[in-house]
Amino acid sequence: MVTGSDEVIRLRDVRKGLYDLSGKTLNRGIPVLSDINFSLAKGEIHVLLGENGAGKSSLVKVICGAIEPDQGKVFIEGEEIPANDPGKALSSGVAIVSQEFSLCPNLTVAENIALGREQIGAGGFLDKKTMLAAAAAQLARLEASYIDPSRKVKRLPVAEQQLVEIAKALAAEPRVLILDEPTSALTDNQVDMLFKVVRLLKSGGVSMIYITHKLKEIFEIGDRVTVLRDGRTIRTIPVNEVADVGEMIQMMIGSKLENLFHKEACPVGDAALVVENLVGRPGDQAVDLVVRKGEIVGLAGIVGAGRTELARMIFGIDKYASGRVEVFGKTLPPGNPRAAIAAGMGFIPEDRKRQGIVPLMSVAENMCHVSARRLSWHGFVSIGKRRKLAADYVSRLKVAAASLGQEIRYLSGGNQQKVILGKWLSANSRLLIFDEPTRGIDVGAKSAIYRLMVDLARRGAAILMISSELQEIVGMSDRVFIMRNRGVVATLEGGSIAGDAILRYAMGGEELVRGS
Amino acid sequence: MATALKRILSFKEAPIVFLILVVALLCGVFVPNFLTAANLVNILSQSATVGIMAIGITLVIISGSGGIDLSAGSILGVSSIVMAMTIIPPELYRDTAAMLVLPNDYWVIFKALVFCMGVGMFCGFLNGAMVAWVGLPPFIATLAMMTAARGLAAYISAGIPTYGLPTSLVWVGQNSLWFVPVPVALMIALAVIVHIILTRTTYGMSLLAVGGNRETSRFCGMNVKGTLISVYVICGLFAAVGGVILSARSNQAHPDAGIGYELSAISAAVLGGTSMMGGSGGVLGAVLGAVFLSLIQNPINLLNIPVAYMKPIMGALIVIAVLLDQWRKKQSIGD
Repeated sequence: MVTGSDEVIRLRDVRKGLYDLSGKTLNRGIPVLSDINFSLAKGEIHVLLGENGAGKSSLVKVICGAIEPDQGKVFIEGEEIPANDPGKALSSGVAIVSQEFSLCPNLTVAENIALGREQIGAGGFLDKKTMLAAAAAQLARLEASYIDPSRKVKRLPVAEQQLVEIAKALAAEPRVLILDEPTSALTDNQVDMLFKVVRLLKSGGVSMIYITHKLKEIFEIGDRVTVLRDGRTIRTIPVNEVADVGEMIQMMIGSKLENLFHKEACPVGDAALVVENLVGRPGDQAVDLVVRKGEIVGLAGIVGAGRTELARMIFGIDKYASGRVEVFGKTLPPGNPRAAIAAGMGFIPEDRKRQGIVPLMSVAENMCHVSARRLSWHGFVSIGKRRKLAADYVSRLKVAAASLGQEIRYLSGGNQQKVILGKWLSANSRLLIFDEPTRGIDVGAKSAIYRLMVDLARRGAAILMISSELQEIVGMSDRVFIMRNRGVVATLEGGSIAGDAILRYAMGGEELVRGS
Repeated sequence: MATALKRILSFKEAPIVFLILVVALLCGVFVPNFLTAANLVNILSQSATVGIMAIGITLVIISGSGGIDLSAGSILGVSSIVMAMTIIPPELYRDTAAMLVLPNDYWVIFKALVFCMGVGMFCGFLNGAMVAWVGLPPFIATLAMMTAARGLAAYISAGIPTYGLPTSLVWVGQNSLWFVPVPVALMIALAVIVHIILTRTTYGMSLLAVGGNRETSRFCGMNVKGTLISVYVICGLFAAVGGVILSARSNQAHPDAGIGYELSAISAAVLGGTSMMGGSGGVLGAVLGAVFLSLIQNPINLLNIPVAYMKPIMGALIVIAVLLDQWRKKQSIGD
């Protein structure tokens, strides 16, 4: 089927540990990618499929040379790529349309498209005329001539920015084009247009890696599909050999359910959180949601489905257009986290570094940020009380820290997470929102966090858990709300909570499944 | 030995203390008349105005996200003019270029001090409102205030400096409590009070938290905007106090008083180990930084060295102090 000479890209046994923004490996023990074997044939459209965090974007970054693998080799047209050299990848003709836009908002469309390949005219000045013409030609290929190449990118709506991003990638005349969820911001018409261009490029011999969460797109344009799970390539098969959607979903979630969760059924009490007709922005679907004492309620969906946005509105970080949030019988004023905290709510945010901790402050200080008032006398902090409370929660939650005075930034992610949890518990929060509670945490600490959550539920706390890890949702939740396009599309309960059902609703595949 | 050094390095004031000792030692050996009580007291007195301003500016820098107050010098100018004009009868103000002799009317002096500090706090409040409510970058907001307040000082004084303040006010600038000059005593007292507020109160904790991570502070239900506004108000107040001391020391109110002082105060804060990134720093260090700035100024005065030689050295010393501080932080990570 695929002979060696046709091969444009080959990844052999690639492995990469948890890495930071610059691509530097932080922890080899937590693999983001392991045993990755992948090939891309000439003129092929190869779909990458996997859950959030399965490693799709990381794999693509390895191919581009944006991150350097810890082990393994990358070949482009049979030639090994030296470590961490995106310039090399670019000169070999690899272009990427990434999920996060790489456009410069303050430059014009034409300048963005020409970036790095600027035409120098007479006298060493930029040749604007040629640049505008070239940009117009690229946009015309996408039948997007209505976009004015002399406009600044920041003035364009998101869908048009996405098209500019694609035009920019095409302008490099790549031999390999990587499209990372290119259609998430596009309308159906624009998607059709994009697919037309994709087929055109394919007939011109361009190979493409296509990442998507929309299952029907696989059948529309895919040649082969590779399923990733937990940073591993599970299987690669030609699309026409895929029997049905269910099979692919099964591959994505796997069947192993480790006994990591220590989940037990807890007595359920009164409603702790009631959300009624909550509308974030005019035009969104109204959301209704209830979490009762002793319950762990999962909030599932793909990235961008509006889960974190919903949680932030409930907690009062962001305001909402209309609706009502009630906590332990009290209606909360919108946009007021202090009222939410006073009513007994706590929030363990997804981005620990930016939203959860104050990195320069000590473990004890971070532990007491919410209960500071209670620990003070006329505004003076009682250092003794603070130490006592912090020591109490450090030992209860088994936080591994050198001392209470150690700056929290030197703790591991799992231990930071425990301090953040301790911060809310010490403030007597009885309704906790966990947003991606175990992201970037190693397995041992994960298990400890799950144990704490179950323990809290047993004592009558109510928990709303946002998670992109299906196993976590399935393993921990008493009920699951599934969100898509900023609305709740389904609610599952008890035995009906299963990974494939959740994925189907989250990815909009329920119609496909019913059809097949 | 190593542990003792580590312990010393765990104090953020360590580098500035070290620099002060080194410079003082060098001056003691090479500069005649340096090591006299009068000269050392003089160095401290000269640092008081900048030192008190630096306390306020340190709080603003700690508040994070580019927190800075470029208007402190101008606020000093306008508030001291307001003070002088409250005391001096209008008919005398513009008529005479000679030294005034005014009675010690305590009620008038009290009113003048209240107006002076009120103006300082009001300017600070406007700074804070522009930063917290309007969302302007602190650099821009306080740059605007710097220009506006200086213009206001020139307008209400018609650009005329006034000489001769009541003797009880001049006492604040020129006399001593036992052997400590009043401005120095005031600087030390304010530094200690603010140090305690910063390290021992819930307000201080929320300021460090807001400066260290604004998002986290919001998630913890802290009053982020109120905290931001408060530091600019305090900074304005301390600039006004600096204005009182400068006027009292020089026995005059000048519409151009305090030009460039904000930069010295910012230097003092940085020398004292306050990070421009926000979230960490201390006011004791800022005061030491101000003392250091006046210390290296001293041999210039004693030896009649042209200022042009000393300014580049001051610039270099600021860089050295910051490098020392970065080195200190690396060393004290260990535990």
